[in-house]
Amino acid sequence: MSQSPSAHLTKKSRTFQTSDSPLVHISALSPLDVPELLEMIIGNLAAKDIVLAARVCRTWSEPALDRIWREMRSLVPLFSLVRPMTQQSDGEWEFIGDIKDVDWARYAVYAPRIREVVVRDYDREAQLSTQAMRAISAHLPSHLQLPLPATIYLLATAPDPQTLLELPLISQSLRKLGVYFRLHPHFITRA
Amino acid sequence: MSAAPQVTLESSDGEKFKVDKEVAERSVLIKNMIEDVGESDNPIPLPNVNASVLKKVLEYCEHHRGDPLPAADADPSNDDNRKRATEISDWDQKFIQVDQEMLFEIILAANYMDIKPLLDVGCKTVANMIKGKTPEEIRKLFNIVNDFTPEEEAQIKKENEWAEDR
Repeated sequence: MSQSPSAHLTKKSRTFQTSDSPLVHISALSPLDVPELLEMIIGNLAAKDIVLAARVCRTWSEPALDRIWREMRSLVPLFSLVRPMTQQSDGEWEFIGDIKDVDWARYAVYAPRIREVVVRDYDREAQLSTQAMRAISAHLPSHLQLPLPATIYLLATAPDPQTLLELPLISQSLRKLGVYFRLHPHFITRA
Repeated sequence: MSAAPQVTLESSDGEKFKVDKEVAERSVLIKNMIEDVGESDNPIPLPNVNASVLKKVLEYCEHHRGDPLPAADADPSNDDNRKRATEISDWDQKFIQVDQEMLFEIILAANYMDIKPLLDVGCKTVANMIKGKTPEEIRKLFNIVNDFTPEEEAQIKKENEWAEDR
């Protein structure tokens, strides 16, 4: 917590007389009006409750959405904001239609909240198709590449060009990249 | 054996509380003040905490006087360090069963006096009050005005549904 607690105590203040100091300001403030405290409270909620908290009001929405989008296990929810996506027979996600002239406004609301992306090349269910990745690379406005420091954990069974395709999108903001080679679930069951 | 060193705290409304230094130093704010000023008989003023709240906070500090101090570098964003809302000890649970106004005052005092474990208990208690409630129920509970249009609220719902059952 970088801000001093007293910095928040200016709102709705009443005046009290005490023997030592003639004017002492006491705050009738609620912890829900203090951003860092609201953030702590929301941080103690389970995912389904955070999603509901995001709808309470604008003040609650910000820390709730930051929490929801901070760590992503798939980029499908993010790119679904650009254009609806559909799951193909192999489990990968494809755009419905062309993304050439789409509106990136909603993407811009959420993308800056992402701090960490975990990419697992063995989890096809969470992945964008090669075609979708190419479309994004071609059309994503440069100023909308994830602008904040992000960490990517690449959980890979082998260096796979398709998984690595996701990296350029975030490379501008990338500060840390962990590549984890894991045994493919198939190998584990065979062993 | 000499008596345990004591300090005097003074609430915003002028009430003085004489407590063991060990108890008062559960508050990092007071600990630092004592370190800066040195031992003194002058009361330590707490202009943001009234007597009824300070009494309650000191009750917490007294009960937890022997607890190990939390690590200063514990990263609250780390899942391992962030305990879930339900994990409050029985004594703390009973201690924090107060009305909403007092609960909020305790949280503000714990934040101001820098008593991390008490702040945690307070925030978890508020989180437990929110748990399972609809946005409208949450607004009613805390007297919050909905400043979203129905369309904006529906949009947030739609865009975040994927996260509900993570």
